[in-house]
Amino acid sequence: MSDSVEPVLRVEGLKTHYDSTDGFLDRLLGRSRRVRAVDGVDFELREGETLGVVGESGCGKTTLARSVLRLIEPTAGSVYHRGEDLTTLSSAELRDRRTDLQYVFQDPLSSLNPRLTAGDVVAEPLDVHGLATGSERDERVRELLETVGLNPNHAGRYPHEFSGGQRQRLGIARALAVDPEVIVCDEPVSALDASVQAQILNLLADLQEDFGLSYVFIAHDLRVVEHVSDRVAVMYLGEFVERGPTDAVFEPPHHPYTEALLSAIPEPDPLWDGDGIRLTGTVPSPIDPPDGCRFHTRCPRLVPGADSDLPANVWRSVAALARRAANADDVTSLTATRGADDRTIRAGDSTPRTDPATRPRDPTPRPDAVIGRDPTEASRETFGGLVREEFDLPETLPDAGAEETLGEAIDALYDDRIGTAAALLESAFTSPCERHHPPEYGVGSDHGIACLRYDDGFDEEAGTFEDGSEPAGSSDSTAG
Amino acid sequence: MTDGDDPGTDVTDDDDPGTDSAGSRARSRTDERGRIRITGFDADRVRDRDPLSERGDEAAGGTNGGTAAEMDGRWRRGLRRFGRNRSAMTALAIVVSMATVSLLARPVEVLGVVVQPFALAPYDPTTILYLSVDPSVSPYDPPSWRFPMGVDGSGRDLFSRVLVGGRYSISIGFVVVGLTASFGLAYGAISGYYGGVVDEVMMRIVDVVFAFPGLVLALVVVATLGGGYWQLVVAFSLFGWAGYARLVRGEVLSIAEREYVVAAKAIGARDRAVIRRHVAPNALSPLVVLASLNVGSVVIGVAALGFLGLGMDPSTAEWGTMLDATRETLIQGPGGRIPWWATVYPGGAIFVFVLAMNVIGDGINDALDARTTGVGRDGRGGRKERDGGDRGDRGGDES
Ligand code: SF4
Repeated sequence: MSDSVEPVLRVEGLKTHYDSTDGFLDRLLGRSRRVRAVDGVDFELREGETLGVVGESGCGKTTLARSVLRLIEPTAGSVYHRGEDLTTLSSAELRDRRTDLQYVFQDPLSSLNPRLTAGDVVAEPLDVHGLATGSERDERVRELLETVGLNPNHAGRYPHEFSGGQRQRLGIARALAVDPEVIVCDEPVSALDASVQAQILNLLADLQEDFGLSYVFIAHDLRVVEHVSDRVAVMYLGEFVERGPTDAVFEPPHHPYTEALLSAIPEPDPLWDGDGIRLTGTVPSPIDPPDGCRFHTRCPRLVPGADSDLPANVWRSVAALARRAANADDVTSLTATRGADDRTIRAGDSTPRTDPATRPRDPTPRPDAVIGRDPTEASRETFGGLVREEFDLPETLPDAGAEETLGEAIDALYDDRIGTAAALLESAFTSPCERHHPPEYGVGSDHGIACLRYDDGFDEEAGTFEDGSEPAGSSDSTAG
Repeated sequence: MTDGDDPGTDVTDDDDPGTDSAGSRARSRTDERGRIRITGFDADRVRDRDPLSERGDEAAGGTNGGTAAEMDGRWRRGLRRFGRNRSAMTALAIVVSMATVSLLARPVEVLGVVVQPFALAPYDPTTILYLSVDPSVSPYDPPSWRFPMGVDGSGRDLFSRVLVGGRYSISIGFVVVGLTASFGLAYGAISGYYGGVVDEVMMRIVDVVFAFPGLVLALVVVATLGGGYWQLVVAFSLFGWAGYARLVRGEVLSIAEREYVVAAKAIGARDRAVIRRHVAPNALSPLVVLASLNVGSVVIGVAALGFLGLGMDPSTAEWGTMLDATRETLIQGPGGRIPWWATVYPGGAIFVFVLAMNVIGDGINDALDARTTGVGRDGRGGRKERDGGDRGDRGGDES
């Protein structure tokens, strides 16, 4: 695991964008939408190690896995295998390379041709590369089936005659047939029962030991990744946000996204209160990823603007309002969903939240609530209260300047001028995270976190950047 | 596990060798956090489940069989199932004997050399009996021992004409289907394989073809080119391929997306090998089903054109044309008699042949279990549509 050794696989600036324009008309009119599924990924895979790649579904993991092996053509970047760039190889050369680089699929059933027997499946790579013929071939097939723990006498069976775990073993045997160096495993166990998962993971570990394999192991399950990986990369919206040795990644400090993923792992501990950081919403569309830090739309640790004296969580609530206003086309989506009756806003109701950090939510409507009333028909105070309630904002913000802006914005919203409100809020409450794309900051040997909180200019105490200091992240890296 | 151990016991081992290499890793933390340990499961129990899956499979293989059938076994099993289908086998026998009889009806000469010397039909289909055979024969003589199907309006032996007529009708059906299915296969495969703009343009062309009823298009072509065997072939082939093209394209598209095609690429197989081994076998069986069903449709179409007087030369012994020649006698024949034999025999021949062809098509459909291959979705729908049209035509023939 020393750095001096040339890695088996080195990926540099890998990008895979593809066109999601659908429909003849769109294409005719030149309306194209680029999906930036993988957008600048670097990693190294060293001999005999397992690199875990983890992230929510929809963040580009599978595209990354396939791009690395050029099963999907990458748009830019390089993949070096033993010093040679795979992206420049001709298709014939690449076919030869596939004896070193193999792939294990997530769904073992759909990745096996239902019309080929187990023996055919395993023999196909042998035939394709002319590795064995005649009785030698049969012998090798039996041997491979045995290696992955299948009964060689079942070589004549068809995929649907096997259980899920056995099918995945078959998929592994197929990958193993060419005697590869690197196997990219794309969620190899997520389609399986927990007990079978354990068997497959252990099989992979045994094979790694026996054949000196290196794995790129893709999963959305942090527990699985923690179990198998020597190093971990956390992926979000086509980028790696954190990477490092497994221990370091699972030990604080974390990237806020990693932290959120970690706290989402359920613990079988009765005292575990589940009060982790909740990730709300889904991964934004990779067609038009957020500017700055891509995680800023969901980040629970968004860095407040430097000129604000608001507590960080209040600031984030205002920022959430600003963001929602920018995308809203109807004020009803910016107000609390309970009724807009004057009576519901009584003195007691509108007292500032004493502890906004706990974010109490009360989704049950009051008995006297009137659901569905247009909030703009209510009085200005009621309307303001509803907006504040939706975003857990106190009745008055502790900062006078901020309160003034917020008040103006709510006025604008009340008059149905959403655009004005959004512009007002955005100019006053802009996080550095929205403007700066964080580079990867080293936080220890071999451990990098792409988050502005790890910038030198970040003031832990104040929870923001000191006045005037700007993070090192490029400010326009995702623009255009 | 290379030392001959049962690999099943290996996976139960708690000291996972894969993690030893990184002994420094703080695995203990995992335990502290109380994570679910994935190493400790009882693999024996899972292994015991395997027989379950076998039993389940036997049930699946025995009853509906086609859940995820295999290539060779699939065709072989399909053949066996077809063999067990008595009505389909009867229909096959009918079609084969009709084809054979029409072939053996009169000697066949190729470039002056007789390649088929048999003559089941007693007379040449164009021989006018009262001129060259027996002056006592008159037009529309009823069936007799000598002329089992009677004599037609021009004094020709109907029996000979019906036998020989099969040559045109049957061969046109197979020739047209052969041409259209091959062209449709290529067209659909290209369209599905390349996708994008190519696919878009090619499929819009298919849409245009589909926008017109096939028989009307054939009629226009024949009216333009004139009648005749090859003109009819052209008329039905020119637009008949669209259904195959659409079917094949859909199949290729869905197959190309399957993961096993990606898997085949991942192990380094060439495109050609991928198509041959993974795409083609899966796309072919629905095509075979659709083609077998379409033979009947083409024969009906040819007969319909013949009946409209647009098929072959009026004196040709083609079933539809023969019907046309006696059309006016359907209501009032010469001398107040209706010479039913002049229409019933050629019409019956069409009817029997098309019915047999459809039964065969259905048999193939069942035998290949088209439900899993997508014909139930595309081909069958298309056939129903056609059948509707056919029935209309047939009604006209039989009236
Ligand atoms: S840069 Fe900002 S938004 Fe991105 S993860 Fe760090 S704190 Fe969150």
